Amino acid sequence: MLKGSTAAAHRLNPYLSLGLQRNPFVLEDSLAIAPSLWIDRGYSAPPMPRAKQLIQLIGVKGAGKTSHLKRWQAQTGGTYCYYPPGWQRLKMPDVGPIAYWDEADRIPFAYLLVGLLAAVGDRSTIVAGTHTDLSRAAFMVGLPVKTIRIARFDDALLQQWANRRIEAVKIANVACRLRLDSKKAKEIAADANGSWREAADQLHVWAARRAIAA
Amino acid sequence: MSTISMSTISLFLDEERVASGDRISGKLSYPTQTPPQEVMVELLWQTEGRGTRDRQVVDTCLIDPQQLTLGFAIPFTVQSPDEGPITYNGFLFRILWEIRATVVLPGMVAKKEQQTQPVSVICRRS
Repeated sequence: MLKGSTAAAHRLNPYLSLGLQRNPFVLEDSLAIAPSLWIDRGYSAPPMPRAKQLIQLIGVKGAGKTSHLKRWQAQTGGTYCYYPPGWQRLKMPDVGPIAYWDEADRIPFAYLLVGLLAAVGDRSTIVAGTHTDLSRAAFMVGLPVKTIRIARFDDALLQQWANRRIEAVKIANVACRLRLDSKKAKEIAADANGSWREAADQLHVWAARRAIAA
Repeated sequence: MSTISMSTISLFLDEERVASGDRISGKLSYPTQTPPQEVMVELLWQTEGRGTRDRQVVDTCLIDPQQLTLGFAIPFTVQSPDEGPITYNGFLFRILWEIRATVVLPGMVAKKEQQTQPVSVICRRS
């Protein structure tokens, strides 16, 4: 039986019942990921500026392209340019020693060619997050291309990622009552279809259900 | 420029659960002999979950900094809005209400101390 003040605190914040400060799968204001939560998938080392190349990260929606771009940008500096849908995509991409173009497949082809041409002249490193392959445009202007295809995650990786997030919000010296087991990880990984965002949505709901029921 | 440090502010609420439109009252104390530059208590709500975060300060109570040097707990009152939102713990997001006390210390760099206390805002019964 909970004491009155503890019960009131748990009503205000149901995650306390699981030994957590909050839901571990909350969407943060920034898409940059804390170093302790980052999972290395073999391409974490940032690119060199002034390498005169296009590095394209290709993956499905929610695969983690933006997080990757933000992580590299935090280490290398350089400009970050996001291309939203609609008329706001009508803008010239920045170049410089290193520049990050997110949702680069939305850049109108003429703008993309001019931007890549400027990158050749400036010996820039361009890092593009994209759903489609941009190498044809890069070859047209003579810019070497390195392609990283962000592979779909499996249930083991999802389980590792989720449990690391749970660990990050657990209350010190209190037993944590939330753990993602392999069966649930398998189910969510299959449903998420390669999207970390979709997996995190489902994990958020899973954690909330557990907290409210506790 | 300002920095926020670990707080020695004590914040006590008369009620931790109020109906929308109610006043929320409490007391604040802060051990100091020199008056701070500014002292305020805010009532705010914020969302937390899988969507973009939203937050809004809905009422602010300014406290005379001189009063803190007397060593007493200083009463404050803020007003919750009639139209809500109310506290909500859902599967995809939560709406959290809190009282936030801020003490801005005197000096070239405005050093701040803050303390928060969650509060539950429920639907008013007609």
